Amino acid sequence: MIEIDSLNKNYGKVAAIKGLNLTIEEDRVFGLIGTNGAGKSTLLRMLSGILKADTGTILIDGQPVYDNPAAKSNLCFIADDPYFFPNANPMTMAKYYQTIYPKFEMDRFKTLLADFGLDPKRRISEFSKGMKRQLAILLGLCANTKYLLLDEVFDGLDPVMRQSMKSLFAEDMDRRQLTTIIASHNLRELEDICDHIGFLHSGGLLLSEDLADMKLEIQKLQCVFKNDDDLAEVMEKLHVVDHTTRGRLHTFVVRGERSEVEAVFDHVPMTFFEVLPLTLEEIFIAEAEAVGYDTRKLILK
Amino acid sequence: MTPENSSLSKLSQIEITKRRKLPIAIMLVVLAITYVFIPILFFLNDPDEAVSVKNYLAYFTNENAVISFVIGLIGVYFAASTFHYLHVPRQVDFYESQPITRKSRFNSLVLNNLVSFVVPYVIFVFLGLVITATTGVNLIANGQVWGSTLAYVVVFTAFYAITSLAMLVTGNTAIAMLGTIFFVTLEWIIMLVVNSFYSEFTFTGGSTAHTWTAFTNPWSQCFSSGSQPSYRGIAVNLLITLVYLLLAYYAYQHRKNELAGTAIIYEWIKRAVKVVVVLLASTIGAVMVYSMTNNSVIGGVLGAIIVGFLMAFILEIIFKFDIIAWKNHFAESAILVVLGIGVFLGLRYGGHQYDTWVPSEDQLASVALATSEGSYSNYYLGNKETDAESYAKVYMKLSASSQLLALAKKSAENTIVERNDYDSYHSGSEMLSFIYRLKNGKTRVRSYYVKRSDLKTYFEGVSQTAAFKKGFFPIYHDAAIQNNLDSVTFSYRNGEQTIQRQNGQLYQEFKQAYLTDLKQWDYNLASTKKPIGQVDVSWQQNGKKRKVSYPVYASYTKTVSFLKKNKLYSSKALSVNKQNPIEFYLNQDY
Repeated sequence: MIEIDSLNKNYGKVAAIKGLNLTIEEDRVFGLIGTNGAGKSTLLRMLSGILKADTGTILIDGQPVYDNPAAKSNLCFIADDPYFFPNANPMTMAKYYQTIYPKFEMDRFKTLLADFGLDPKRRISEFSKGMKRQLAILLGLCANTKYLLLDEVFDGLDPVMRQSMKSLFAEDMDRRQLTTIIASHNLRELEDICDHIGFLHSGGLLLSEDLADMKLEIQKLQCVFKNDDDLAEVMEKLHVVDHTTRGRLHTFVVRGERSEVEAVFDHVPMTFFEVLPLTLEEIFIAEAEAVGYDTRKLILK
Repeated sequence: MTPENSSLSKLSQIEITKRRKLPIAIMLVVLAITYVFIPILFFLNDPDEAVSVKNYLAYFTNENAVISFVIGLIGVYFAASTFHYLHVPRQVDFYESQPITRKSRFNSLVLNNLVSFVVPYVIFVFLGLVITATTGVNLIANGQVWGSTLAYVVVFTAFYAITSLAMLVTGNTAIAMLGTIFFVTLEWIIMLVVNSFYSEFTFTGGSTAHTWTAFTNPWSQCFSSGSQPSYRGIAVNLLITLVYLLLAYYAYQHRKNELAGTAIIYEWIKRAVKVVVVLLASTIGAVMVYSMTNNSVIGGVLGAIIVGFLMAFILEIIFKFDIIAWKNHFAESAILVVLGIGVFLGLRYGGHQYDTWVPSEDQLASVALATSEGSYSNYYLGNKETDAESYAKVYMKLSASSQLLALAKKSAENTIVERNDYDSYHSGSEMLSFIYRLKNGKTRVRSYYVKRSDLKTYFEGVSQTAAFKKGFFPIYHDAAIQNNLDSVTFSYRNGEQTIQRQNGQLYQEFKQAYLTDLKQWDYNLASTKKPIGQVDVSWQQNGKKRKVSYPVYASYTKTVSFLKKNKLYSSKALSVNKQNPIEFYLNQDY
C-alpha cells in the first residue's frame, strides 16, 4: 500500500503539490488524472523516489521511498519520455534491468517482445515513438516489481495496444498482485484501463474513488417527454449534474442510484427513455462539481 | 534493509564500465598515441635523439606539458561524462528511480572512473618505457619517471574531482565546464589582481612577482618543480581531490533532481559566483583601463563599470538561459560594480600608502639593503644560487639608525616624484631595496630610486658598518668553500690576464688578507675608485661549479701582497675599456 500524508512540493515559488493526502491500495490500476500542471508527474516522481518532498511523507509498504533502495526495489517507474541507452536494443536494456531488478522476468520479456512484434536486436533509436513506449511498458512489467508507475506512457498508444496492455496488467494483477499507477491528462485513454481514479488539480487531490462506485452513483439518461411541462417536475426531483437539450431530446447526468432515478420517471408519460453508459469525463464532471469545483472552467479533453 | 535489498544498493562495476565504453575508448586511444605511437615514431625518425636519456626523461616526466594537459582533460572528460546524466531530466528519471542509494551510486562511479584511468595509464607508461628500452635507454626502474607517473595520476584525480563538483552543483554540462574553469583559474585570477597592486598601483613594490604556486590548480602544482616530481604538489593535489570529492558528494546528496537542465542547482552558489566574478571582473576592468589611460582614475572607474556590468549581465543570462534575464538582480549588479570601483580605489589608495610608508625606528628590528645592479659577486644560500636581495635578507642586519630611515624617507619621496614625472624618470638615481624587519616578526620590502646625492649623505656611514659588509660580501659566510677546499680554484684577473691556481690552502691566506683590507671599503671608496682587478674563488659543490668574486683596489695592500707572494698578481695595467664597474657605486662624473 502507498500512503501519502500532507505532501508538499514547491518548484521555487510555485507549489506543485499542496498538502496532498492519498492512499493507494494494492492490486489495482490507479488512474491519476488532472489537467496539465496539476502535479501528476511531480507526484509520480515523488512516489518513485526521484524527487524529495519538501514536507510530508510517502510510505511504500510502510517505508519512506526517497533514497531508500528497500522501498524503491518494489517499484518501477516509466517516464513519459522513456530513456534508453544510446545504440541499445531491447535485449541490452533488458539485461540492464536484470541487474537493477533481480526479479526481472527475461523469458517473459522475450515472449512479450515477440507478441508485440518488437525486434529484440533492433536498435531502439530506430523504433517509432509508440514502439518505444510499448518497450518501456514491457520492461517495466517484466521488472516484476510490486508497483508499476507509468507517466502518460499510454498517450499515443492505439486502442488495440491499450487493450493489450490492459490485459497484461490484469494478468499480472491476478498472478502477482501488481499495482499500477498511471498518470494521464487524457480521461478517455484511462477509462478502459483503470479501476480507481484519483483526480489532481493545482497540486491538490480533488477526488479518489473506485470507478465502479462512481458509476453506481451517477446516471446518464436520455428522454423525450410527451408533455414538456413535466420537465420542471423531473428537474425538481432529480439531483441534476448536467442537462442538455437537442430539440425535444433531453440528456441528463444525474446523481443517484439507477433505481432511484428510474423511479422519478415512473409516473411521467414518456415518448422515449433510455439509461446510457457514462464516460469517465462525465463521471469526473459530476464528482468534481459535487466537491464544489466548476469543472467547466477546467480544460479537459 | 533486508540482505536482498542491501545487494541492490550496490551498482555493478561491470555494468558501469559497459555504460562508459566511449570515454574509456577515447582515453585508450589518447594513451596509445602518447605512450606507444609517439615513442615508436620518435625512435624511427630520430635514432640519435632516441638514445638520449635527457630527451626521454623530458618526455616521461613533468617537463612534458602536453601529457599533463591531456591527462587533465581526460580527468575533466571522465567526470563530465560520468555525471552528465544528472543534467538530462529523462536520464534523471531513469537512474534516480532505481533502487540504488545516491551514496552507493556516487562511490561506485568514482571508484570505477579512478580504476578505469589508473590501471590502463600505468600499463601504457610501462609499455612506453619498454619501447624506449629497445632503443638502449632503460628508464623502467627510473624513480623520476614513476614519481612523475604518480604525479600525473594525482593530476587526473584532482581534475576529476574538480569537474565532478562542478557537474554536481550545476544542471547543465556546458555551465559545469565553465564551473571547472572557474575553480581551476580562480586562484590565478586572484594572483593577477594581487600582482596588479604591486605593478600598477605602487612605485616601490619592486619588480619581484608577487605570486605563489596556486594551490587549487593541479597543473601549477604539477609543474612547480620542473622535471622532478613535486611531492608537495602531489600532496596538495591529493588534498584537493579529497576536498572536492567530499564537496561533490555533499552536493549530490542535497541535489534537487527537478533542477536538472537549469544552470546552477543551488541558489546561494549563483549569488556567490556572481559576487566573486563581478567583483574580480570590475576590478580587473578598472586596472586594465587605468593602465591603458596613463593611470587615469576616471578611466579606471569607467573600466570597472563597463566590464563589471557586462559580466553581471552575462552571468544573469547564463543563470536563466534567457537573454532577457540580463536585468535580473540589477541592484545587486550595481552594488557589486560599486564595490569593484571601491576595490579599485582602495588599491590605488593602498598603493600610495604603500609607497609612502617608512617604518619608525621603534617598529624596526633591523634592516637589510640590496641593489639589483650593485653586486660584485654571485651569491649562494645553501645549495642554491640566489641574488643579492635574498642574500641580504638572510645575512644583513643593520640597526635602525636615523640615518638609514632618513635615506628611506628621502628615497620614498624621490621614487614617487620620479615615477609620476616621466621626464625625470630614473635620472641621476639608482635603485636600492630596503628589507625592513619589523619587531612584530613581519618583513616588508620596498625598492626605491635613490638620488646619488642622498647616497653620499646617508649611505656613506651605513656602508662602513660591519653589518652591511656581512650581508654584502660573501666572504663572511664561506662554509661552502671551507667544506670543499679540495676543489677550490683561485684566480686573479685584472682585465688583461687571468692567473689561476688550484689550491685550497691559498684561500685561508687570502681570506685573512682580504678581510683586513675590506675594513677600508665604503661607499666613498667604491664611488671614487675603480678596482684594479678581481679575485675569483671557484669550487665544486654537489657536482656544480660555484664562484664568488671580490674586487681588489690599489689600496688593498694586504691582498695585493698576498697575490704577489703567490705569483697571482698581474703587473699589467688595467685598461679602462675592460673594466666592468658597478654602476650603483660609481659617481656619474667619474
